[in-house]
Amino acid sequence: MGLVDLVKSRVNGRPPIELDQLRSSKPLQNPTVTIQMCEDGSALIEAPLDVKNDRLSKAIKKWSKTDSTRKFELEPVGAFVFSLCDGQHTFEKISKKLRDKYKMNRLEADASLTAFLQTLSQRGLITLMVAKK
Amino acid sequence: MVFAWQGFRLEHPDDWSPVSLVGDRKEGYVRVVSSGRLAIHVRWASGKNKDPLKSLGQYLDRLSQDAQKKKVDFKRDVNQSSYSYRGIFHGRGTVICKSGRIYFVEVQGGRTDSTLPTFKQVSGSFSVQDVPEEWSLFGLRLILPQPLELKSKTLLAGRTTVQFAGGCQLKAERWAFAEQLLSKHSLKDWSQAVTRSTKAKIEEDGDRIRLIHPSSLLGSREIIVIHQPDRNQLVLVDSRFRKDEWRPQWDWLI
Repeated sequence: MGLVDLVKSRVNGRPPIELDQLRSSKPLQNPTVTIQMCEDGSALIEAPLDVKNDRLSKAIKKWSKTDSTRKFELEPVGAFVFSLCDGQHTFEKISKKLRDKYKMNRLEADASLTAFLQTLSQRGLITLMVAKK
Repeated sequence: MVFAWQGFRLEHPDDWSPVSLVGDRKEGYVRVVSSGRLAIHVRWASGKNKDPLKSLGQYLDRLSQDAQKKKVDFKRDVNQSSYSYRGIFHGRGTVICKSGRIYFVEVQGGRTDSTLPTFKQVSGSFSVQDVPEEWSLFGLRLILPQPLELKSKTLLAGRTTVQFAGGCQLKAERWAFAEQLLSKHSLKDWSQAVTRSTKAKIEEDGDRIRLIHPSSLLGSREIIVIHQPDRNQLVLVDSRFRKDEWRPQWDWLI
């Protein structure tokens, strides 16, 4: 782990995901997330904002009157992958579906999927369920 | 699936992918991997003043030393130009001398993996080509009338670019997600935007577009773009040339 990753993990409280862990995982959507599918296949995702459970953070939030949710827009390919994050599909199964639907090759699908799932996980939109060793 | 690079060509299982592409026409190395432990290794070098069997002996000696360091038994079997070994890894390969180059074509796996079926496919399909020259990787398949020198390669998820120099300056590019790209833009608009060819003359024919830039003292520039819906990809060839033989042709794209 590099220094930047170490600092990030301390600040975020989420350790970075190892590649092996990611590939053996079953991604699961965060249950607090709401999804709205659009006609063109894209999706609008709304997730509650992370607020620390201390008085100062709560006071700042109340004072600033900001939204209590974060909104994300996923383009059709991203929405397709997100819809497969149901805790049933493994990384390999999602990659296979991606290859079949979009005619990608394995390396391309694996690389894109790895980056995308890492981003979703870092934003708290999915949880990566990894079997105990 | 076909993989063609620097003057040779082979066929590998569909879900395998090239991950290491090093060197040039004189000397280089390519590794094509499966999702498991099996991989195809191709090494080549200019064959002048080189004894292929001596090179093979040196290679196997190196593997033997590595195995000794890890206290693993090493067995080798060399039969004329074919060889196999079992040490830390298990490999099966052949040495091919053609067109002034020596090729080591090998399938390698874990110590207990079976390499024979893949080796038969790879060695049976391996060929060395002179003219025309094929380049093929990640769905980008191109046949050039004359060999050009590879200047650069960019391998991104969903986008593969190779650039050549020699008789002309030529760039070939493959874009995945064609259906998704063309759902938002027409093929004409997409081609003009990607190649910055708003002032070029356009010849459109269904899934094909030719963009012709005005000639200048520096030469001519023409771009062909093809939509291949069966592979969900867009392929373009952008050529800057002086001689007409390098005007991009549709039959360059397979």
